[in-house]
Amino acid sequence: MNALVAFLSDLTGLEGVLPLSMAYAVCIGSLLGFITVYAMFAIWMERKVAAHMQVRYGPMETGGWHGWAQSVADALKLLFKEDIFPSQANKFLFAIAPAVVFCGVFAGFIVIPFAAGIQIASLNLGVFFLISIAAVEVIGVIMAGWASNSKYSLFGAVREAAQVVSYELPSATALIGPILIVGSFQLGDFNTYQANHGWLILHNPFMPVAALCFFISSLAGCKRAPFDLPEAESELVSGFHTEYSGMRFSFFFLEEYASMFVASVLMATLFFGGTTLPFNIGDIGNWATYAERAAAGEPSVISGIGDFLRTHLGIVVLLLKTFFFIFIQMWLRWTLPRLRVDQVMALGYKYLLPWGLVTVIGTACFEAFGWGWLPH
Amino acid sequence: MLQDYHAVLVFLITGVAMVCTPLILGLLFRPKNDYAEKTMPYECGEDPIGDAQIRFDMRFYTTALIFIIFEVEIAFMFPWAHVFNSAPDKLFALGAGLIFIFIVFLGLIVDWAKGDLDWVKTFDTNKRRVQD
Repeated sequence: MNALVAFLSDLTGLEGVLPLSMAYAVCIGSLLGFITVYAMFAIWMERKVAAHMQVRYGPMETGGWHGWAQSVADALKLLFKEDIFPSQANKFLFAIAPAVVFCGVFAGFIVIPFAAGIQIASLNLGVFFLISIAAVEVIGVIMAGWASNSKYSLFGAVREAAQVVSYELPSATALIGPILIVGSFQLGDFNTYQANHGWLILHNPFMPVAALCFFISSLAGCKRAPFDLPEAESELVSGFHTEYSGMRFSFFFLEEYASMFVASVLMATLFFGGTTLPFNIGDIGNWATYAERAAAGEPSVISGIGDFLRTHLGIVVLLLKTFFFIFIQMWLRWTLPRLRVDQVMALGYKYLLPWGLVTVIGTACFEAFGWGWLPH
Repeated sequence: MLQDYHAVLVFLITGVAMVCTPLILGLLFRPKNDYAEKTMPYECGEDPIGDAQIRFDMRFYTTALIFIIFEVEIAFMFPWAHVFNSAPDKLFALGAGLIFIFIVFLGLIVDWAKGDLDWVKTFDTNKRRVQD
């Protein structure tokens, strides 16, 4: 962001608010484009993955090649659907709930480190910010469920509230380990550290446990199967968004897929090397080299095609890892049956939370005594 | 540093705007055909009985209460984790952290033993009936 402001200021010769607002426009435009295209792709991918796991084809007709345009057609169809407000509903809360749900996860995207220098805001509280902004979603869901004035919606909303807040605890504890090792909240620093010291998942014996703990709790946080109780379609019709239709309904889905992406990126960045390859092959996606150049006062990242590729191939690496985790989330959805509500709560509080705390203790001990699988 | 956080505000507002834009755009295309049966809360075809904005079950309250207590405790661990490796005396930092986490664990065990972590808290039904 700052680099972009400097670049635009150099390019146009303007000062002050104008290059800043131009930079914001560029960031907002690219992020909106990215989320929309990603969500459409992910929904198509989910259908294809589901279909192939059940030995069928899934969408094949729309667009010609393997139904690639199915999501585009769906989005258009949703635009033409009637926007129904239930007569008993609280109109105001019912109308703003999708916006509240969506804006939280949308603001979370700004700290995602796509590649060195490609991060909208390098907040010094990165990870902490991401955890807290993701929790805004719960407020919107409770709003939606309560305002709908339907029993299914209410049940879905209170289940969601109980489940999502409960699983924030293990996911937060699982993230303390990596923060403790790296000593920073900034997501970019995790990439630099892992380029120099190897992936955090192999840092000490507690890190794989923390990664698993985080992955399971992020599944529950995104309401993905086997934790899809808030929208359990066989018991609650559709959960908290039973009464929603058309575009408003689609924003709940957009939010779900967007939060899957955020969770997978966090998983890839904190445990699986982020933008770097194993053993830091080719020095791809190493943020340190970029930071050095920025410190030397070069406003643009582009200095030599090799440097450019090395920095920006990080995006490809990160997206590959992210889609791998998204694929696992889809795989689990079509493999595992849904848990019962008391099992979900027991798993969160009685298994994952103690495991998470144990990984914190273990990592702290390993760090204090300088032990570990990888050199410090 | 603080000006980085302006981006958060800008993107929160943009998020709301992104939800509103297709909805306003959709006004041009979408039909509006309301009637009483359509706007009725969906209950699988039955006429809904009573209001849905009723009192919650207490266990959601308990869950939320436990969550707030633990979340605050875990939020306290983040600054500790952040400075751990740059602490002058790591063993002191480790000791301090372990004492804190021990207390958190103790709280978890107390909740567990009292049955507050169980979704359906078991009551002695006979005793309740007498009290009622």
